[in-house]
Amino acid sequence: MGHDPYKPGYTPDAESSRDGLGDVGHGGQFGIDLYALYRAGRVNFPEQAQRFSSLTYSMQSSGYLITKVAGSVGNPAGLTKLADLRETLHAAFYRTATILNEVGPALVTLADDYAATDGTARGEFNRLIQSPDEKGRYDDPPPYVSPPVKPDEPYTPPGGPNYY
Amino acid sequence: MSEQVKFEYSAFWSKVTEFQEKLGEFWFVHEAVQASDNNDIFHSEGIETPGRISFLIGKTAPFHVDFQYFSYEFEDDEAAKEHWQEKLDGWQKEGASWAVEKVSAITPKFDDLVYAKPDDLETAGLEFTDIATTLATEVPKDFGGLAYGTDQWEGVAAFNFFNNFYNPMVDCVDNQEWLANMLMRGCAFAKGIIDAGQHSCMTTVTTMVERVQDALEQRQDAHSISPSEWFVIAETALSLVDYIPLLDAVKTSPTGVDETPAPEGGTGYGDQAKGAAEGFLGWAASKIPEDATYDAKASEWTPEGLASDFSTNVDKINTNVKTHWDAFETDFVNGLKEQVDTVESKNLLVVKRPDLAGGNVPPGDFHHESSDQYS
Repeated sequence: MGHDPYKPGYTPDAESSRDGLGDVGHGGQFGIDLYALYRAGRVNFPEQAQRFSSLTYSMQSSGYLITKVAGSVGNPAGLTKLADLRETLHAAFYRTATILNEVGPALVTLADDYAATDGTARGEFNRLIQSPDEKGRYDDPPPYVSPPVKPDEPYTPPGGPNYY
Repeated sequence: MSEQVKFEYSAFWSKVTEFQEKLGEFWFVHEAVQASDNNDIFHSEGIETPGRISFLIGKTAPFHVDFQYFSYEFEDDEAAKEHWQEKLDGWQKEGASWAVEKVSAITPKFDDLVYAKPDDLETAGLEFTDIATTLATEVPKDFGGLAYGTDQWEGVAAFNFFNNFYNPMVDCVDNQEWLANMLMRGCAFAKGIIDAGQHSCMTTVTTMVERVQDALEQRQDAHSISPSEWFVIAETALSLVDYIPLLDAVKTSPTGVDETPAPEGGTGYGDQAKGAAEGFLGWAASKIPEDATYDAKASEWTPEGLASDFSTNVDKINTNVKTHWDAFETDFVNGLKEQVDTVESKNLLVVKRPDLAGGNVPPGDFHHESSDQYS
C-alpha cells in the first residue's frame, strides 16, 4: 500500500483520508512546506517525544532518593518541597513527551491529506521525499516512543529497595 | 585538640558504644574512688591501726584503690577483701546499667541526623545535571525544522501551533534545563546540611570518648602520677559539599519571565542561591556545637556531667541542623517554588497542547498562505 505515510517508500498520492478540503494551499512552495510538516511529524517529533519520555524514566530514581533521604531526616519542609518541585519537572517531561507524541502523527496526517489536494504540491513533495539527501531518512520505521512514566507511578530501584 | 572526624556510620555507632562502656567504667571508678575516700576519712581516727587492702580497678586506665578496716569490722584481710570485692562488682554492674540508661536516652536524638545517606542526594543531583545536559545538547532549538514556516501557515490552529506550541518550546526546554540545575543545587545544599550534621555528630561523639578516656586517665593519674589538664576544641572545619563549586556554572534564572521576584534582602535569585551556598560553607567552617569547646580539668568531671554534656551537644546539633533546614526552605526552596509557579503560569515550563494534536482541524483553521479559499 503506497498510502501508508509511515511505510518506507511512501509518497503522497491524490487520495486523501479527508474529503472536501478544498484549496488549503497550492503550488511548489505549498509542497515544500507540506514536506517539512511531514518530516517533522514522521521523524523529529517522535525522536523528541522519545527523548522526553526517556527523561521521565531518568527522573524516577531522583524522586525515590530525595523522598528516601527526606524520610531519614524527619521530612523537613524544605526537602519535601524540593521533592514536589522535582515532581513538577517530571510532570513537565511527561506532558511534553505526550504532546509531542500526539502532534507528530497529526502533522503526518495533515501533510498527507493536504498533499492530495494539489498536484503541483504533491509533485514537489514527491521530489523532496525521494531526493538523495532525504531518502534514507525513511528507511526505518518511525522512532519508537516508549510510554512516558507518570510522576506518581510507583518506583522500585532495579536492584530492589536497598539498591542505593 | 579534637580534629574533625569524617562521619562513617558503623564507626559512629562504635564510638557511641565505646562512650557508653567507658562512661559506665567511669561511673564505677568514680564510685569506687569516692567510697575509698570516705573509707579513709572513717578510718583516719581510731585507737588501732587499721588493716588495708588494695584492689586494681578499671579496664581503660587501671589503678589501685585502697580500703581500710578495723579489726572489729572484719576478722581478717580475706573477709574484708570479700566484702569490698562484692561492693566493687556491684558498682561495676550498676555503672554499666547506668551508662546504658543514660546513652539510650540520648541515642534517639540522633534519629534525624545519622541514618540518612547524603550520597543519595549527590546521586540525585548528578542525575539532574545529566538531564540538564541532555536538554541543552540534544533538543535543538528548531527541533522540528519548522521555525521558518511560522509565516507560511495561516488560521487559528496554525497560529496556535506555531505561537503557543512550536516557538515557545525553546523557552520551555530552557526552563526545564534551568529547573533541573536548580534541583541539582537543592540536592547539593541538602547534602551539605546532612553532611555537616553527621560530621558534627561524629566529632561530638569522638570528643566525648576522648573526654571520658581522659577522665579515666586522670583518675589513674590522681592515684599515681599527677593530674592532667584536659583541653579540647571540638572544631568542625568541614570540607564538604564538594561539588558546590559547580553551582556557579549553571544558569540561575528562568527564561521568558519579565519580572524575576527578588528575595527579601537580595538582589536576585542567582545571588540568593550563590549566597546560600556560601552560607552553608560558612556554617560548615564554624564550630558545631558552638560550646563544644572545653577548657576544664578532667578531675572536675563527673559521669553525670559527661552524660549531660553529650546530651546537650546533640541537642545543639539538632537545633543547628533544624535552623539550616529552615533556611534551606526559606532562602532557597520557597524562592525557587515562586519562580516555578511564575514560569508555569505563563506556560513556559510545558508548552500548551496545540489544537492540532486532537486530530483533524477545520481546513480554515490551518491552511497555507497560498490558499485562495480563505483569502
